[in-house]
Amino acid sequence: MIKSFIKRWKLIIKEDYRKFIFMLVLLVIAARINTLAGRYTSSSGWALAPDIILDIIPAINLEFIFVYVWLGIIFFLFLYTVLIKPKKTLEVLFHWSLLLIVRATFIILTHLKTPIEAAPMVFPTLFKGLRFTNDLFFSGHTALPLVGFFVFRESKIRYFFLASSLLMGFTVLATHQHYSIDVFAAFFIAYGTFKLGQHIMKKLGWLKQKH
Amino acid sequence: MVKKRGSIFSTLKNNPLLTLISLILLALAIFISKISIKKTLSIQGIEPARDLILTNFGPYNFPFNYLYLWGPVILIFTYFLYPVFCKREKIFYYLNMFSFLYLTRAFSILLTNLKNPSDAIFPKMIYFPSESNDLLFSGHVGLAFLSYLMFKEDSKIMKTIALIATFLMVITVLALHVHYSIDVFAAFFIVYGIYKIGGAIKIYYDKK
Repeated sequence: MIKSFIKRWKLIIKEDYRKFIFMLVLLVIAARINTLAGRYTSSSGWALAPDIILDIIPAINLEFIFVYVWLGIIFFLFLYTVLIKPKKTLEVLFHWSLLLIVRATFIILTHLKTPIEAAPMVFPTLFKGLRFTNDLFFSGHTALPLVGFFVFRESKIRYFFLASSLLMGFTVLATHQHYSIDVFAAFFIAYGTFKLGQHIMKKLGWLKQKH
Repeated sequence: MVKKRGSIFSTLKNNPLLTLISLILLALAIFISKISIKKTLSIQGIEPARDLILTNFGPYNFPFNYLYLWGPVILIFTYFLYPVFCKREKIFYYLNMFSFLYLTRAFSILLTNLKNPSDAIFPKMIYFPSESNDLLFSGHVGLAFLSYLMFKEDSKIMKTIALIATFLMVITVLALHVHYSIDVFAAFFIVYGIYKIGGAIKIYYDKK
C-alpha cells in the first residue's frame, strides 16, 4: 500500500513538478502576506462595533475547538487530499493560497477591533505565528474548511467540510472572536474566491477534469 | 417557463402566480430594507473605523454627489426596462434577483453596526433617509454588479455599460466616504453568491 502510494506520488510529481514548485512558492508567498497583514492588524485595531448576535449571546470559552479542532480540520483536509485524492493537491493548495491572499487584502482595508469580551486563545508554540488580533473581516476559521467543501463537492466528504465550516462559524461567534458579518461574508467570499481560482486554473490549463 | 407574447401586461396576466410571488417579494424587499435602514440608524456603531483607502482618498463631493443620487435611479430603470423591452421571458428572473439582492442586504446591514466614516458626505435622498448607517455591503455597487451579471447572459453592450456603471459606483461611494472599502469589495462576492443561488433556484423551478 505504501509502495503504491509512493509510486502514485512519484508519477504525479514527475508529471507536474513545475506546477508543484510554482504552487509551493505561491503558498509560501500567501502565508507570508497573511502574516504581514496579521501583524499589521494586530497593531492597528481601531473600531468596536455593536453586533446583533454578539449582543445576545455571552462569550463562551471554546478554546479547544477554536484552536485544536480547527487545526485538526485543516490537517485532515490536507492529509485527505495528499493520501486519498493526490490529484487534487494542487487544487486545494491553490485555493488556500488564493483565499489567504484575498483575506490578507480584506483585513488591511478597514480596521476593526476584536470585541473586548473575546476570550483569549492560546495556540500551541509551533502555531503561535498563526495567531493575530483584529484580523476580522472575514473569518478564516469559517472560510478555509469551505475549500474542502468546494473542491470535493462530488464526494460525500464535502458534508464533513461544510459541517466543519458551520461549527467554526458558530465557535468564532460564541467566543466573540469575530463579528457576525465576518462569518456571514466568509461563505460568500470563500465561494467567490473558489470560482476565481477555478477560472485562473482553467486559464493556466491546470484543471483537466470536468467541473 | 414564462409564456411570452403581447404586451408586458399580458405577460403578467398570463403568469398570475409568478406575478404575485414576484410582486410580494419585491414589496417585502423594499419594506424590510426600509425597516433595516431605520434600525441601523438607531443602533449606530460606537466609533468610526479607520480605512486604508479612505485615509488616502477623498472625500470629494462633486460630481460624485450626483452619481450617488442618480446612478441607482438610472440603474434601476435600465435593469427593469431591459427585460421589459428585450427579454420579456426573463422579466420575473430579473425582478426576483433584484428582490433577493435587497433582502440579503437588509439582513446583512443589521448584523454588525459600524459607525459611518466621520467625514462622509451624504447627498439628500428622497425615499430613504439621507444619512444612513447601512454599511456592509454597498447597495450602489451591489446593484450595478448584479446588473452586470444579469446582462452578461444577454447583451454585450449592456454588459459593458453595467461594468462601467459598477466601476463608477465603486469610485463614487469611496470618494464620498459613505462606505468603507470592505463594504465595496465584499459587495462583489456577496452579489456573485446571490446571483449563483438565484440562478440555481431558477433552474430548479424551470425543470419542475
